[in-house]
Amino acid sequence: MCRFPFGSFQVTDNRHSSGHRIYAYCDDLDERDGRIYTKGKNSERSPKGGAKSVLQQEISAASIITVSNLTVSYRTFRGYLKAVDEVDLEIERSNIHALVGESGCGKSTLGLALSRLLPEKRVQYTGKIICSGTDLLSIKEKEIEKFRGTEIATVFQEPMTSLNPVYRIGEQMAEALGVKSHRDLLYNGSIPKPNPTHLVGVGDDSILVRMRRKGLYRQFADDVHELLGKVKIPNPERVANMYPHELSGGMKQRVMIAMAIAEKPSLLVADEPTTALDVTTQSRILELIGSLKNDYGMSVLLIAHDLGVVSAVADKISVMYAGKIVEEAPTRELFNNPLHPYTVGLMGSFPKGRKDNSILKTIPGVVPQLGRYPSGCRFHPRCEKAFDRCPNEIPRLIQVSDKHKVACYLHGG
Amino acid sequence: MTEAPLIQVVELVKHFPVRAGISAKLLRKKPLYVHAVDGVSFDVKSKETFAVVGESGSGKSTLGLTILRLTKPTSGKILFEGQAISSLPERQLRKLRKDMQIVFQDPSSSLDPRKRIIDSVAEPLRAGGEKKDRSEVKIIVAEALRAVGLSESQMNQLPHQFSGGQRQRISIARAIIQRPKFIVLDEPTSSLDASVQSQILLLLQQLQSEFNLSYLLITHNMSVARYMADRIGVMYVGKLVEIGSNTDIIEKPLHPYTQLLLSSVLEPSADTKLKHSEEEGEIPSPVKPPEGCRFNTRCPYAKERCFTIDPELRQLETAHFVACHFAEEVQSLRRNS
Repeated sequence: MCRFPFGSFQVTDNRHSSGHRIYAYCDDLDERDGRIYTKGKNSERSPKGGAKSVLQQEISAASIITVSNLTVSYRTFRGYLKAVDEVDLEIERSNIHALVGESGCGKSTLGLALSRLLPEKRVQYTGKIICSGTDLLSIKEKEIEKFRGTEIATVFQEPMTSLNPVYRIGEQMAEALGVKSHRDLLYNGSIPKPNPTHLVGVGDDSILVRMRRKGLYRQFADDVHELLGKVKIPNPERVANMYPHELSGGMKQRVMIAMAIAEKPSLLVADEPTTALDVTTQSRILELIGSLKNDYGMSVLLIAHDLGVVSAVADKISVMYAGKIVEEAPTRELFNNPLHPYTVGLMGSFPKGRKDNSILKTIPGVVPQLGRYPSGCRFHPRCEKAFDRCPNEIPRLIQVSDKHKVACYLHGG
Repeated sequence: MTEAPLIQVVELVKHFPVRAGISAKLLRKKPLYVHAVDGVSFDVKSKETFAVVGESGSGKSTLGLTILRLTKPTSGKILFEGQAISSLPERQLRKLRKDMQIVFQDPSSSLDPRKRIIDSVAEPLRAGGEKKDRSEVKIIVAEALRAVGLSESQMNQLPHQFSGGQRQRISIARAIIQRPKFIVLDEPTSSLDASVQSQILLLLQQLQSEFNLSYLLITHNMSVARYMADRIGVMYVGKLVEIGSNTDIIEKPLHPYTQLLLSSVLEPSADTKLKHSEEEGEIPSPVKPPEGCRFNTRCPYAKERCFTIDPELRQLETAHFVACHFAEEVQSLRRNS
C-alpha cells in the first residue's frame, strides 16, 4: 500500500487539476496506459487474504480521497438508520472542499466516517472510501490507524472538549508527535512492551497512563514549539507550558489544528472549526486554514452550517440534505447559479439587508429526523417548487454543466 | 425626539466580585471585580429595536439581565417609563415584571424538561399572581402559541418533543403571554440553524408590529443586528463604544472596533473574501481592563493618548455617539483607503 509521502508530488495545477494526471513518485505505484495502478504490496505480502484491501483500480490522482456510494447507518431501537445515504464525494488535492447543510443532515457523520472515527459496534458502513489506493472500509480497524493523522486528520468543533484539561498544551502535543516518531515501530509490531520512551498509546490507555508525558514533552519540545509557531501562536514556549483553560477559544482551536497537522496529513477534516468562536476569531482561524492549505498543499474538508464562512474560503461546495448530497459546484458557480431549491433557500435565509429594505426568506419546516425521511426527494415537503414527481421518485445527483451537479427534477434528475 | 423613552439606562455599572483565595485574603489584597458593565448609558424608545453587539465577554448579556433587574446593579439608574426600577424592592418590581420579559439564548435549557408546554408558557401568569382557572389559562396559552406559529394541540407535550426552532417559539410565547412592552432578546437565534434563524427573526418582527413591542436585541451577529435593529450599540469590555442608527453604524462606522466587527461579517456570496486585518489580539479580561481606551490592545490606530485617557462617549453626528479620541481621523483614513 502506498502512503504518499508528503511533498513528493508533482502537482500540475492546484485547483482544477481534474483533467491532469499527477504522478506520484511512489515505489509501489505503477503506470499502465496512462492510468495509475497500485501494485498491491499487501497482496504480495499475504497472497491469501490481504488482496481485498488493495483496489486494483484507477486512482484518480487529482483526488485525495474518493467516497463512492457510501452509506453510514447507526444501530438504533428502530433498526439501522441511514445518516449518510449513498453519497459520492471526491476531494481534490490542495483544495478546500466544503460540506454545508443544517444540523441533522449527516455532515459530521460523513466527516467522521472518512477516518472511521464512529463507534464500530454501532455503525454499519457500505460503499467505499478510497484513500491512496486503499479502501478504508475493507481494512481492519487496527490498520485504519495508519491513516489517521498521516492521511486524514480531524479537527472538531469545540476545542474546549477536545483538549485534556489536566495536561499542559506541550504535553498533549508531544503525544501526537510521539505517535509520529514511533509509527514504524508501532505498526511493525516490534514494540510489544510498554516503554515510557516509546509512545505506544494509540487506543491503549494503560500504556498512556504509564507514559510520562512530561518526559515526552522534553523530548519533543522543539517540534512542539515549531508546530505552535506554524499555527501562528505568539510565544510558543510560554503557551506550551499552559493548561487549556488558560487559552482563549481561538488559541485552543489553533492548538488543535497544530496537533492535526503534526504529520502533514493530505486531508484535514475540519468539523465546524469556527462555530464555537467569536466572529473576529473566526476570520483568523479561516485565514490560518487557508494558509496551511497553501503552504502544505493539504486538502481540507470544511464542514459548516454557515454559507458565509464557506463562501470566504472554499474552492468547492457540496450541499447536504437529509443524508444526501443535493448539489455540488465550485464556490463561485454555486453562489452565482444555485440550482437546488434547498441551496437557494439556505442562501435566502441569511439576513442580508435591513428589515425595511430587504426580504428575508425562510425554508418552512425542519430537517426530517434520522430515518424518518419522506419518500421521493427528501426535500419535497419543504420545497415550494415541488410537483407530482417529487414525492414518488428519488432524484439522482446528475451533472448539469461542467462542474455543477444537482439532484433535482427541475434540473433533469 | 419628543417621545419619552421606554427604557432609560444611566451610567449603569455591574461588577461581580472575584472570589479571592485564602492567600489573597490573608495578605489583605485588594478585592478584584469583573467589570461586566462599566458605566453604560442609552435608551430604548417605544416600539424600537435596540441591538447591542459585541464579542463574547463584552458584557452584553449581563447588561440585559441587569436592565430587567434579574441581577442587582452595582450603581447607576434604570428608568422604565420614567420610573426608577434600579432600586425598587422586589415586591413592587413584581408588578412591573409583566411589562418586561426575556427570551434566552438556549431554549433547551430555559424550558423545564419535565413541565408540559402549557405550564411553562403559563408560568409568568402564575408568577404575576393572577389567579385563573385551568380553562381560562388554556385559552390564553392557546392564543400565545398561535401567535408564535405553533398549534394549540401541542400544549400538552413536553419540550423534548419539539425541535430547536419550535422550542425557541415556545420561549417567545412565554415572553409575550402577559403582553409586555419590552423584551430582552438574549442571542435568540445563535443556537439555531440558518433557515430556522430566519423563521424566528421574521416571527419576532411580526410580533413587534402586532403587539407594539420594544426589543433589546443582544447578539454577536452583525448581520442579525443589521436586519433587526433601528439603532445599534456596540459594546466592548463593559462599555458602549459606539451608538448610532442602523445606517450610521453599518455604513459609517466610526469606532475602530465597530469596523473590525463589520469586517468579520462573512456574507454568503461568490465574492466574499476574508479581510486581512492587522489586529491579532483578543478581548482583554474584564477583571483588569486596560488603562485608557479599552480597545488600545487591538487598535491599529492607537496613539499615546489612548493608553492613558479613557475616551468619553461623545456625539459626532446627529444621534451618532462614539468613544474614540481619533474618530474623525479614523473616519477620514477609512474614506481615503
